[in-house]
Amino acid sequence: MNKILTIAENTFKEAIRDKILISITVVGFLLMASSKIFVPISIGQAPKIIKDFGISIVEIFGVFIVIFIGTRIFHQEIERKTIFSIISKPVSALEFVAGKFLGLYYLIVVVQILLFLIFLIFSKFYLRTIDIYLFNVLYFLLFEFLLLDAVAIFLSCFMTPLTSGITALLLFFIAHLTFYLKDLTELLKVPGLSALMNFPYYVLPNFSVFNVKSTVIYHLPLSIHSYLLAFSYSLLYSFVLIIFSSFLYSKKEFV
Amino acid sequence: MKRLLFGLILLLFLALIEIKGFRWIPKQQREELLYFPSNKFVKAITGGFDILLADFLWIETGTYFGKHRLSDKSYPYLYHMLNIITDLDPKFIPPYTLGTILLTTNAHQSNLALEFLDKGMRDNPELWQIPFTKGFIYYIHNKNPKEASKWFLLASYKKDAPELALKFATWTLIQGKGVEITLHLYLNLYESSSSPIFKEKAIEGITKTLSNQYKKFYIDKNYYAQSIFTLYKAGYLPFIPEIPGGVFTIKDGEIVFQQFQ
Repeated sequence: MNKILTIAENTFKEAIRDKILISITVVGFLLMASSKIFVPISIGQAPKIIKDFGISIVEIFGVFIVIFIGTRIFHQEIERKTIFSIISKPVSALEFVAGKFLGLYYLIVVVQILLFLIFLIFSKFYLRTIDIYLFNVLYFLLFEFLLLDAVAIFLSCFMTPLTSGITALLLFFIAHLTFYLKDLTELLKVPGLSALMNFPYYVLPNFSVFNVKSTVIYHLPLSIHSYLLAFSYSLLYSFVLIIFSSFLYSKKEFV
Repeated sequence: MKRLLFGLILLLFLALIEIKGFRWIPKQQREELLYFPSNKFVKAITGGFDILLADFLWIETGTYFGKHRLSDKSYPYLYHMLNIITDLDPKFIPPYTLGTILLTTNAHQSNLALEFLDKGMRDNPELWQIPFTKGFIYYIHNKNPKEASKWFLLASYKKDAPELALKFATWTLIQGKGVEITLHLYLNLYESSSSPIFKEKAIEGITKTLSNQYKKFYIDKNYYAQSIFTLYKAGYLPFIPEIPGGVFTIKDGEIVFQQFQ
């Protein structure tokens, strides 16, 4: 466990110095600051639009961090040749992958909380109030990014940074869409199509589990099941992906 | 060779979409709303950012409405836009309330507005605002107090419904209370919304009602009323409508809303 935590700590320290991270956070800050422009053009709906925009920025920039930093995490080790000092030590593939995964997740949590606080400050500033119910979104986002983090780590085990980044981004969008694809196949009633469409529905991660933005914005009640589902689904799926990733990583040959 | 063939097929496919796909759009509208999505499975392509997209489309609808109000006063895509917004965010109420009033008063599509409100009630059965708006349209625009009363009554049963909903349900059935109900409805519209378009619509409605009473006074008495108070004293108005920040007055023989400096 100590080895995993040491790798996680080093991964976090390396990633936090990344210029991309600073750029993403600064752009996120500027976008949230500019949400004031919605007040005169929102036809009386500024409070809702500012909240929707702020939450979406927190989520979008979380996705960017995973895509830009998470998918490069192994390749940086290879490029800098630091991978050789790690494989020469008694560190198993699972410990290394889990450490990288935790380090990146630690970074995501820090940035997400930071962006969320910036959003709350601006919402207090622009709307004269802080909606405590919005903290529910943060809970679901943190589990969403746990899963996306695992997806990015998994892809970067066998893809180049560019392809794994693009694939992770596409997966994020497709995984929101599988629910509708399943509905579409039921509607079309084409023989054989349902099996084809059900495959991505059951195999790909279902990110719609974490999409509670609308429920939270309208202050609709969230059942305890949705909290538990987000928690258990994210944890279980990530665990499986990390096991697969460590297997793939152990098969890698570094020359 | 394979790549070239694939590229050619792709080009042909795109050309086919270009030729066939956009034919249904009237020529003058092609550029304006070319990017506007169709409502079938539009939620699926948003990647979980459906409410954000709905917000942007709401802002776009405001721009579309404003642009056409200043030019041709024709709104062929207003209903389509409102429909997409509520497909993306079914709990977003302003398209149902403000949107349908604009559809009725400006686009003159009250049938579509009423249909659209039915969709709103299916998605939000707990809200009083939607049946209330339906009652409003039936009373003010369709001049059907019986139907209006039914919808006001339905609104009054909903959670958090104002007492006024039940009052309207009974008032609309009393003959000779037309002016009073209309003024109350418009005042309620003004007070219940933060939207500037809503407020503008309410002021327009009150001005129109006062103008009708002003003309009625002239026809009956053969001289013009000197002030709104004269109309009230003579029994042509049940009360003098008050709106914060301004006053209704008679200027050059016309009823106007004068804002305080």
